[in-house]
Amino acid sequence: MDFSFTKDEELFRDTVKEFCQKNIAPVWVEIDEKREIPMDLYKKMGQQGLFAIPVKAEYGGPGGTMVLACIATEEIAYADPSVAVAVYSLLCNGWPMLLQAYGTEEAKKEILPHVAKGEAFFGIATTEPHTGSDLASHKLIATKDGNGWIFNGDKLYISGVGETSQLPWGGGWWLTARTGTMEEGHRALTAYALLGKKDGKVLEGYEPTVLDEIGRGGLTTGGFTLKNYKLDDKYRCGDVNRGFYLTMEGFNLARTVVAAACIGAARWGADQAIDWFKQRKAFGKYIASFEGVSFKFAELYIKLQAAKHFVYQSGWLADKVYLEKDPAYKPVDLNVPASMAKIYGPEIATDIFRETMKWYGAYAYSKESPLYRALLGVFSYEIGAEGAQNILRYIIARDTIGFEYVRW
Amino acid sequence: MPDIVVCVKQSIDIEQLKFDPSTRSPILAGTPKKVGQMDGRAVEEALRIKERMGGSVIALTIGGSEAEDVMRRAYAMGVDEGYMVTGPELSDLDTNVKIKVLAAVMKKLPYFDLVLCGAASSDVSSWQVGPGLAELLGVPVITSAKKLDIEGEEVVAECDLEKGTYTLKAEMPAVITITLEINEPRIPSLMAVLGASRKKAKTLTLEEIGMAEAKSLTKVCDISMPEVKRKKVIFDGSEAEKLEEATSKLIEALRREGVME
Repeated sequence: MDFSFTKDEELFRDTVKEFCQKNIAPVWVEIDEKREIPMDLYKKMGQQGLFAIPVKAEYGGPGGTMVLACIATEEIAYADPSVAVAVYSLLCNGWPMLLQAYGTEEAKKEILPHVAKGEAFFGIATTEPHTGSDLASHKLIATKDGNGWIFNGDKLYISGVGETSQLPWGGGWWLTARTGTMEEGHRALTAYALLGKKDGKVLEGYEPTVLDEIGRGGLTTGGFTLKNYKLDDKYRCGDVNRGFYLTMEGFNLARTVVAAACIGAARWGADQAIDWFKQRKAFGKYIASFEGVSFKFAELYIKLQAAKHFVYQSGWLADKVYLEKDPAYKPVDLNVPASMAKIYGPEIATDIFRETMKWYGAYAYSKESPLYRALLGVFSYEIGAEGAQNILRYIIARDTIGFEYVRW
Repeated sequence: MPDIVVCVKQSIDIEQLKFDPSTRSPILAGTPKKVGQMDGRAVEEALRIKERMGGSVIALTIGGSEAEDVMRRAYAMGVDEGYMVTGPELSDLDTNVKIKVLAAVMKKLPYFDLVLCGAASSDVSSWQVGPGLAELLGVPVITSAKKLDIEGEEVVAECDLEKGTYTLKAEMPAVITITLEINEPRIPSLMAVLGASRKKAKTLTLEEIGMAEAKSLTKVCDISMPEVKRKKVIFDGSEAEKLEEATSKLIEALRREGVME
């Protein structure tokens, strides 16, 4: 048992902190307000090695690990607690790691170097207008056409639609499409690395739309319609009709880094509370001398540390499975740790911001205080992006009690 | 193509240092350490010279277990080679002995053109290392450089000294001490951090450099936070007719305190 980070991990955390405090912390409110991450920030983050961290050098990545990706995401979210920059980077860490595991050599060599450099986005597109969690009823269809596929249908509430259009190379998503009948449910879904734009050109048959959201302003969410959109078979990930299972593995990776973002933002929130406790007095005493305040803070702090343990346990496990290929661990071993991280991370983050705003009082309800931006940012993950909280509770129940006892 | 040696020290991270309010003593246990701000700039300046002119950069540090962290950072920034003098006894040695240790290591190196070091460390801040080192090595020293160039066999430095900015030249080899203004040090990328972990610095002991008997000449008896008492003088300028008199009194008081000339 070793609970410490390695020397490399510690040095990396120091360097990410320095980078973020210099390049992100001074502009995070502006990013949220102007609803845009500056173009030069993507480039700088790419040069710093903050995208596609677990991707090997042969695919243009820094050759790091999932634990390093968690460290980066946590520190980025500490510097931008609205989590826009952290969400961009976590998506461009988690899903490239899955593409590295299951994509074709050609697709990996074409896409991943651009993601690593901050020239292209690569996220996840599963949700459809009529349902999110229920992948088995997804309708977007891919039909075989010679050595390729023709896609028709819609995806909605997809992160990175605007960024894919804006970034110089472009980018796309790990996407699931129906390759069989509706009756076959989740057994007839296939995964693809689907590009909306590549080499600076928007692809034919891809029609994006950007939505207006209440928080996390710097990163776009939207949707797209595919109309007779054609894709070569080299972009297929894994076997036909295995897409559901591979995507579930990807969600475990993404949920780990999502939780890392939430604990980074929550840590910032806790620091805001501590700063406030050291200056604010009421009835002649520091407000934290009232146990209604300090005990609540202590409870939240315990949960934050627990969430942090889940994040790094899950990240460590992901490295064992996907990078070290340790035969003692399997992809399904990540189900419970990643779900625990994704439940606790967002929930503790929103709890911390809600309580901190109450401790700050009326000031926190004014737009002068940035706390509401952080609350709205992390709340997106409590609502359910990257896995609804109750789906995650179901996964934990299923994997611990047994599938036959929790079956709907 | 200059060969440059940079002295780097791990200092207490002053921004995170807390004081015990009852004793006014710093709480050193558990306070993180990091490469000193001026030392980091010395490494950066050496690397920039190398990038312009070629040559090599050697990092040198002394200390306890933290020496490895210093070297890891220096390698990640891009230095070619590292030497560290390590041993548990080193953390108790005073600046005077540390200067002798640094000089002893440098005398073992085949050749160097420049020695760069921070003008002062972020914690002890003695401002002695550069000048002391130059004396022991028998080479010229330029202190507090905010700009540095090499012209032929000479090093040219712009320095803020006393009441003005001076441009000073020295023949190489020379020791130059570096201030905060000279540059903004690079933040190593993840690729550089991972690359640095494959490099190993050469470890030397006090015995190996012939300084087994090294003893400090000074002893730190006490460290405490300076007490700054506010004078709480109020010049009443609340009404228009009082404003002129209050302003003159304020200026007079500031002059008396040496804040204004």
